[in-house]
Amino acid sequence: MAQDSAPSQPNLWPYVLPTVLVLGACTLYPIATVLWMSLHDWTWGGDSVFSGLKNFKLLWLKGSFVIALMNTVTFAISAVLVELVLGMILALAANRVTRGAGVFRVLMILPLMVSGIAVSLVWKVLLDPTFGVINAALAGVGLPEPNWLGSTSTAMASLVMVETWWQTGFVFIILAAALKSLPEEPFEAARLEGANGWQMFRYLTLPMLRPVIVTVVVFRLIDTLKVFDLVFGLTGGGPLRATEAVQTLTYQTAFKFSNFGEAAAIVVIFSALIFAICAAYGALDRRTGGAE
Amino acid sequence: MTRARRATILSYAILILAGFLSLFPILWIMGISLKTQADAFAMPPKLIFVPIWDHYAKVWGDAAFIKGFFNSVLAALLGNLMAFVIGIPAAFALNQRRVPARGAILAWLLLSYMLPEFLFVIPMYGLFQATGLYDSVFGLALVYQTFTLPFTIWMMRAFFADVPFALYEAARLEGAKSWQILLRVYLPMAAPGIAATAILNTIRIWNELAIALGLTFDKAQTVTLAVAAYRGYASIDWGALSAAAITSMLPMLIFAVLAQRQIVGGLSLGAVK
Amino acid sequence: MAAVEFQNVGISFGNVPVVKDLSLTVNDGEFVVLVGPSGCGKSTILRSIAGLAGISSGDMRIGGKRMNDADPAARDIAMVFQSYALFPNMTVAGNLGFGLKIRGEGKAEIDRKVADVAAVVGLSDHLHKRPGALSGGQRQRVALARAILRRPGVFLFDEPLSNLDAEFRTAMRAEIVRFHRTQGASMVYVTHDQTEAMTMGDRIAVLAPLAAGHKANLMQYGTPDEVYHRPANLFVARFIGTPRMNVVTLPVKGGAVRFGGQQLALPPSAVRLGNVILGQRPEHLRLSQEGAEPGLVGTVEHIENLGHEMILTFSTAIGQMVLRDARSGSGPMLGQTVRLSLDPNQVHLFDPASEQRLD
Repeated sequence: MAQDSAPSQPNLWPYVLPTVLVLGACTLYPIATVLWMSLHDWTWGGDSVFSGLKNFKLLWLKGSFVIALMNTVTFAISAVLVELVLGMILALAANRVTRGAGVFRVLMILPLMVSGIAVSLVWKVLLDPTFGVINAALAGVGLPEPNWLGSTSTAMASLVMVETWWQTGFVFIILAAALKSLPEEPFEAARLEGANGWQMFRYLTLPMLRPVIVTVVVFRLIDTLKVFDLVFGLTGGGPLRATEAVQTLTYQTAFKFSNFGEAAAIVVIFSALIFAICAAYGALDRRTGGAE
Repeated sequence: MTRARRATILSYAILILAGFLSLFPILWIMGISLKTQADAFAMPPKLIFVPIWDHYAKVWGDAAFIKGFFNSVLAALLGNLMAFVIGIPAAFALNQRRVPARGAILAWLLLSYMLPEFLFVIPMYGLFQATGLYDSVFGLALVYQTFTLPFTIWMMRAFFADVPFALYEAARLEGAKSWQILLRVYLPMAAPGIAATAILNTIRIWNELAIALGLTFDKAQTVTLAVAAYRGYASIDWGALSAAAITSMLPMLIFAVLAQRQIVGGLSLGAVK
Repeated sequence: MAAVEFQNVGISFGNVPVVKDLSLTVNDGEFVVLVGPSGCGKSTILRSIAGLAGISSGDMRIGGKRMNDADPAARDIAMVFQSYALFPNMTVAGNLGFGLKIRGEGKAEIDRKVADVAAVVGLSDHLHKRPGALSGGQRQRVALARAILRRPGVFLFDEPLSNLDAEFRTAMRAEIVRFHRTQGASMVYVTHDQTEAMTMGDRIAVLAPLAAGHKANLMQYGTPDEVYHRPANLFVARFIGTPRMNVVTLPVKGGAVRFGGQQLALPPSAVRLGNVILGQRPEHLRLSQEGAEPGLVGTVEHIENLGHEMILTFSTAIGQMVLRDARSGSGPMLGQTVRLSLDPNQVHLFDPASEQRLD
């Protein structure tokens, strides 16, 4: 674009300076500190003794971090898959209808407006094994009444279900907008060639939506990996660590057990994981010619 | 009946079901918040009942809840103010491509938005204790910049990109400096974008939990923490719990209804563009 | 009022040269049109006068002062953009007063000047409206008025009519020419439309893209008549004029070329060459009376009937020929074979190697 060629254009670094300073204070300082903390036996105010990789070794030996990481990855992948499939179905459905689309959109963004903690309270009441309306309904039609959040076999699935209720609207909104922005001619041409609905979806819609789907999946994946509110509010990580997540474990380790060195070690590993996903996404996006 | 017609009817059925599932939990809790204890626990559930306002009275009589509510209002105001004052010039400069290390800054912003909350909370806990920012709304709003600032810059850059470059050139020919062009041309044209961004920032700040949990103790507690305090009531006092949950979400639900267009547009802006 | 001079100017975007070795003078008060196909650098040259594109080498002067690196606001120029670049968030009055406000003039003074200029261009009733509520022509006038307010020595126009519909374009063309006469300032006008170039310019600069292998952009600089009737090279000959000039390469034999049966003597400059490029505009090519004149045998391949004239395309032994015939109705039929002859007084000759004009 021609804007690069104009002479005597001052560069605008003063405009980004405040951002760089605030971002530096809010990210570079924490990153450096956390790295340092993770390598020390750390107590606030007291002496901090260099301990090498001891914190990392302890994490491995105690096993709780590995469990939390597995739980978190299971939660993230299941939730994102379900949200993607549901979001796509809803977006395709919404793309077909004309009347009531606005009302439906409002209904779908309502859960997004609610804090994770309020979502937790809502579902704690709904899923209550004895007094909850869901089990009452199940009993009414003669189905078994699971102890949703209280049993190790169903707690994780229940969390995924609540997360899905909460965030599918986001996936829907984005896919619906992307669908609407697709050109119509290729679909008309395909129809003239005799393609059926599934073929058009498989060979036109899906490939054209690919960049958007990748972006949505990455955003949702990182967001669900960082899950905290729902676990904190619904299960507290239980029962028996069945729903312990990385971020709730970090919180417990740091603020319940005041073991900041170990908490820092968790954060280091976890941040590295998030960074790796972002970097892979960035590389992918550049290769496929996405913006920025 | 044709295939297309069947597909349309199926679409409506799916949407109506999804809309109902989306709305039902909120409506149900709203119902409980207006029921007496006995009605709330009644089996089978009572669909018709006489609403009572006792639970709301209780929540609004709770000093901690009121404090949390207004702390969150303040955090949202402060967080937005900081993000716009700091982020708008940055968004302008990054859109103009006249910044050294532009790509690195953009990547850094995205990363800052993505990194886990406790990466910020744990070190800031110590720093804030030492500097007196601990348990202050200002400190909270500052750490919230890890996500509001990138989001604000990202959104504003997209809205600035929609301003034709010829307007910038025309203003330049008239002798306007960069900051005058930003204030007089770009900002007024991006006003709808500012509204959308502010709404989405507010929702995010209003609903934030992890950072507030780690960096406040008492006087700066936010609405989410005040709501979290009602967890203990889960098997005893559903009415108060529900009233607290509904009260905390109501402002954002009203946003959703009134500013649906901005919210939907803002959410889809980043991914689709 | 000011002249604009380019001296051996080069402009590059990164490593890609867009303009090379440009030397051209726009005299004080002159209306010069820069015309050429896309990629020829015409907009870039205009933007370099405005200070919106940087000059990599050579000198550019406005009113005798070297302005290569001057701030756009200090160049004594005003520009009318292709999109008009009106600020959509301001009223017409706000748009017109924007520059005055930036330059720190008082409110009363601004109001007075804005009212004056609005009266000149006939916008007095629209001052409170936003650009979105105006027609294309009114927006054009706002852009013009904004430029007038600067009282510049040089007006710059970047394809200002390309956003208007055809009917309106003719009227605006006349309006801008009248505007030039009343203002008396120098004007540089960029267009890709040769009709605008021919009808508006005191002089026309025909530009060619460097990407097509030309050593410099400027192909010819002259009055519309010079450019049309004495094109300096093959590029200008083919770019100016619709339909395009007929061009054939013919072998030189005994100081002459043969166009079918028609013998054409060559000027001394062409005699020594092995081949020569011969050009003739479609309106000068003639249909021979059968048997009366020698000529080139051609078959009618395509007929475009424009009502007041016919454009006939013939296939011949030496390539396609286009003929423009004002006599409508009674021309040859599709597929009919006729003889074509040249008007010997309207022949253009070019050197096949250099593509330069031979006289």
